[in-house]
Amino acid sequence: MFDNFDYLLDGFAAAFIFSNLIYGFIGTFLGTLVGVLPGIGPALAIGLLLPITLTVQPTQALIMFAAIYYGAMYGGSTTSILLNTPGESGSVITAVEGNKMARAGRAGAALATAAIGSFVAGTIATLLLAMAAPELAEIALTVQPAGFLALIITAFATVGTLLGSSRIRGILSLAVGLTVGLVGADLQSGSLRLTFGNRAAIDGIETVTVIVALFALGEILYLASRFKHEKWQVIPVGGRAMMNKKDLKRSWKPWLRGTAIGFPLGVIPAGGSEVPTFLSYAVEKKLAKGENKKEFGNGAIEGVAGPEAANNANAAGALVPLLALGLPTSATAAVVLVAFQSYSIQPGPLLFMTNPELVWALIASLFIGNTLLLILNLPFIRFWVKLLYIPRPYLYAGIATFALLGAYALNNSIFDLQVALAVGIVGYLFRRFAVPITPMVIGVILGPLAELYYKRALQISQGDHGILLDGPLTKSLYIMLILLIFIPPIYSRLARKSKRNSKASI
Amino acid sequence: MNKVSQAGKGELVFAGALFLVSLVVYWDTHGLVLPTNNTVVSPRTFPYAVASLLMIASIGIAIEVFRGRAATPEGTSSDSTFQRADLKTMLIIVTAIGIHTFLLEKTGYIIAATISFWGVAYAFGAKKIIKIGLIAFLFSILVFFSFTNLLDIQLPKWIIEELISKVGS
Repeated sequence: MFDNFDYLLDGFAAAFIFSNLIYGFIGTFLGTLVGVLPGIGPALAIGLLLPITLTVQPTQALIMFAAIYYGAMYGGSTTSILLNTPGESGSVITAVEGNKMARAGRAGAALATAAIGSFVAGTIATLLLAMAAPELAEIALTVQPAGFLALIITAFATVGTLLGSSRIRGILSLAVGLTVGLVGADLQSGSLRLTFGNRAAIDGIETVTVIVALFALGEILYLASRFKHEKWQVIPVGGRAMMNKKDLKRSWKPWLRGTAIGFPLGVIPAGGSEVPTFLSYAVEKKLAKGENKKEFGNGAIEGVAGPEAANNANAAGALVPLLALGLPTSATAAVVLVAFQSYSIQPGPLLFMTNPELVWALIASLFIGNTLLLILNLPFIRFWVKLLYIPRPYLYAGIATFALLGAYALNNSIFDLQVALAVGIVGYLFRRFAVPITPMVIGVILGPLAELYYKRALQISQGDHGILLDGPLTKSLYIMLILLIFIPPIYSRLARKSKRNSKASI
Repeated sequence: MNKVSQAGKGELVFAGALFLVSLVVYWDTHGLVLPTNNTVVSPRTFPYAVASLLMIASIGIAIEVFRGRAATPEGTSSDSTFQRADLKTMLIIVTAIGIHTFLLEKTGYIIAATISFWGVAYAFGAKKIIKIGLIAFLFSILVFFSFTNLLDIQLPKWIIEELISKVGS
């Protein structure tokens, strides 16, 4: 525990070197810049900015990434409040109450509570991350391949079934992702799968290409398919991004509650930031009294403060399994994983032993980035808001240009561009038919890993499948999984039945 | 059984296509050349499982549609009448990206990116064709210059790019 504190201080020392601070500053700037642009969530922001870090040293690149990660989340909330087009699922709730507040002329207060709430939540959650991740990594060192397989399957099931309007669509998305993950040479036998004689496909499909294409090209095509019906109205910010005393009094408790809800749900694979933000909103609505309660649905500040805090705490929480286990549990964490891998760093339990200075520099820069963001965002909010006035044709053309560049520049390969176009069309179809995107991303990344652990487990047991259920970790995970899959449908059926009965008795 | 709506029909085609994909995965896996050395787990096991999941899920979607629970697209409410996708706009964008892909390594980054930028901006309703072209061209030059000269990321070069690189250095 105290060792960790020492490491963290070392991390701060590393992050505070002038050149590293500059990278942190550039990261927060770019992250906010890209995050503010409508339709770009944190996952896509990081994906688009990946090429920029390709030529930077690993430590500096990670510092930049930490900054981009938080920056994109900040920028995203600004867009949801002023434009009501949430760039990602975590900002949906912020858009509900925040946009209403902005319409009522309280944009400044909404932006301020979102920014300060994100700062508070981000700082507390990063502190928790610094405490939890090394401990978890230590435990994870003892986990066998069968245990990792169980963890991955749990992540599949929770991400697949919790996201989106229907379970079957979540599973479909996951299955498509797993299929994409199959392409290329099998890691152990070298058998070529789904390459159809294309030599470029042997190395498999580049994850960044899939992410950038899904989020950017898919979104652009979707917007194109219906842009004639869309209205687009930026609400001007009157005054400055400031809160008065009353706002602060109403905000600080939701910030803390949001953090408490968001962080743990980020650590366990609960499927992204959708669940915690909704939960935080429901809690705030329930706890509100009198006049404040009436404001819900018409712009209640608690409804911005809580979910924004939950969203940020959740993002930090998702870094715990990412750093300690190497398992991403959200689309954004998945992109961060890819970023790590492009510097040949493999997150996971060993990382804390092999590259402690790197991990702690990253965690320290999360703190620094978070503080920089508050400084960068509150006073300069008017500058960021200007970005919302870029004419839509140029905005989307610019996003497409960077998406194509990002898809190509990683491997300098035309095949990646062809893949990007195909995946972009898939992304459009997913949006059109309400299929969630994140399970597919998780499937692409974790699919090959699942197969690897499966094979390793069976090699240890010489082909005996019993090993997959061996040990307390795997057993408890699978039991949890079964409960998770079967309880909600049974519960909703019972609820419907009792409703019918009560109706009948009237 | 409810009558399948217009939107539902589209979704059935979508589910059908994914069903076909699952068949392709089965077929491809079946034809895999197995390694001669004995492995504990065949490289076929995992793909078969994935193909089965995809097949089940696509059938599940079809059942949902037949039950009258077709998808409500993002950002629309279930009661709003389904609006036809604007295929023309989409086609312009897909074509622009396609041309970009085709030209990139033939005529260099700037021409390819100018065309894709121009195409997307035009599709999204920018009217002044020459003005967009000019903006697209300048934007592409800016992107090329900053990525190759400042970030050291190499992008395909042709005559224009060589010129810029010379000026830059």
